[in-house]
Amino acid sequence: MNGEKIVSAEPTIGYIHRAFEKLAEHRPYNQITPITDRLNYCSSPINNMGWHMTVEKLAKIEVPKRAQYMRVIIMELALWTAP
Amino acid sequence: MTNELVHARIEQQRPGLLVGYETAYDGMLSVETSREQIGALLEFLRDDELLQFHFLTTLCGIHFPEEKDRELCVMYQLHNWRKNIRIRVKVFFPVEDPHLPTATTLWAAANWMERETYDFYGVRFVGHPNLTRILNVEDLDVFPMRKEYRLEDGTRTDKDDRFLGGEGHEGRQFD
Amino acid sequence: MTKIAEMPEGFAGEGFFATSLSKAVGIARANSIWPLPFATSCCGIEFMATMGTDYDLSRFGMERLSFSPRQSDLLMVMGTIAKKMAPVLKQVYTQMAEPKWVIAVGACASSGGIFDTYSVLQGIDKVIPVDVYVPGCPPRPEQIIDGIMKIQELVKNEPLRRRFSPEYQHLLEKYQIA
Ligand code: SF4
Repeated sequence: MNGEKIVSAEPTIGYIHRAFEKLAEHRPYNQITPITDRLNYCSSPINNMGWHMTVEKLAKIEVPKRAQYMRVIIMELALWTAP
Repeated sequence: MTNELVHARIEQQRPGLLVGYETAYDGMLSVETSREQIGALLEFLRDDELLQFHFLTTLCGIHFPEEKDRELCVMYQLHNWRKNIRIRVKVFFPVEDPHLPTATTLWAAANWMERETYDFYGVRFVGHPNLTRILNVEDLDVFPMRKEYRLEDGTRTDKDDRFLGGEGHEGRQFD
Repeated sequence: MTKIAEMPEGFAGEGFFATSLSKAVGIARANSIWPLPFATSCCGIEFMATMGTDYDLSRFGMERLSFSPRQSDLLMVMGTIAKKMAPVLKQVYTQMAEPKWVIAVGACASSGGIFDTYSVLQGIDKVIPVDVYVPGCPPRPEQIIDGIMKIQELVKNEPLRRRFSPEYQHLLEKYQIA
């Protein structure tokens, strides 16, 4: 700082580091959903979907067509509310 | 381009770089290399005119406490945008001596990712320009993502979870 | 329709009204609180909904959000406060001018919430004194408004001398705030 001028700045992160990873290590798969909800609170269903798709890939689960449609609808709705 | 081609290309151009390889559950090629070779392998993958893995998607640490001398792992994920193919590179090393050459010379993006890996797993990246904690407070003296450290804040005194199957808390007296 | 604050107790007569200074000041303060939103995560989004037209926090005299701690009366802490953030929060609190109030919105700010982890401060009352806690993860805007009304009630009934009392000094000392 030089008077009111900012001369140099250094970006730092980690001010809301909440230990998601460690928290998720201690939980069953379905209980991680509320945590991914709170990762990005503007579009939480989309975050959940990322997590669910990961688990489905891991467990080789195939999602029924109807559920997939519902997901798309929910994600689109979330997209509206996200700024 | 397929996984087999990528693997064959590495083996053909730089024999001896890889320690092992497999196709992972999600169909991605996953190769393993050694600590001494990782720099050369990454550089080769980036600069080879056929492979062109020019984008470092992610880099993170993994801890396997049961595997002797292979406790810590650092995983690099590279992406070739032109052909849309990805590769996973893993390096294993013992937890007593966690050091690895830095990838910041190849990708500037590796800077923060390596700091994060250092923060959580205590992997020292040799040659990193500023290897300090990034997400946690500076004066934390453990590497919290290693499995032996507990999730909860150890200094907490207001919690009594004995009735829920916990072990209670030494910080407080109950009578 | 404009709503006028209700009259406090006092003596009314022909052309005059007398009450205690405390009460008059209390009413004035309670209906013109300037909040400083310290929104770090999800609860902040809920707060934005509260500020918006549907729930309209400005009904309570909070038309202006103050983003400078020096000009605000109410610190609204919404969201997870990590340990790295705690000194910042404390600094913001100390920079606020007296009288000041604090409302902790959401489970995280009140107690750490679902994040019972090494990196999250287990409740902001570990670093600064809190007046009202709003539970919920996240709380509905109605709940936040209820918390605000509780704060108004506190503000209205606070004696003028409270901030000079030894109890208050003791409280600040406990938090090591000069
Ligand atoms: S209380 Fe819940 S909604 Fe609020 S900040 Fe914490 S996790 Fe987010």
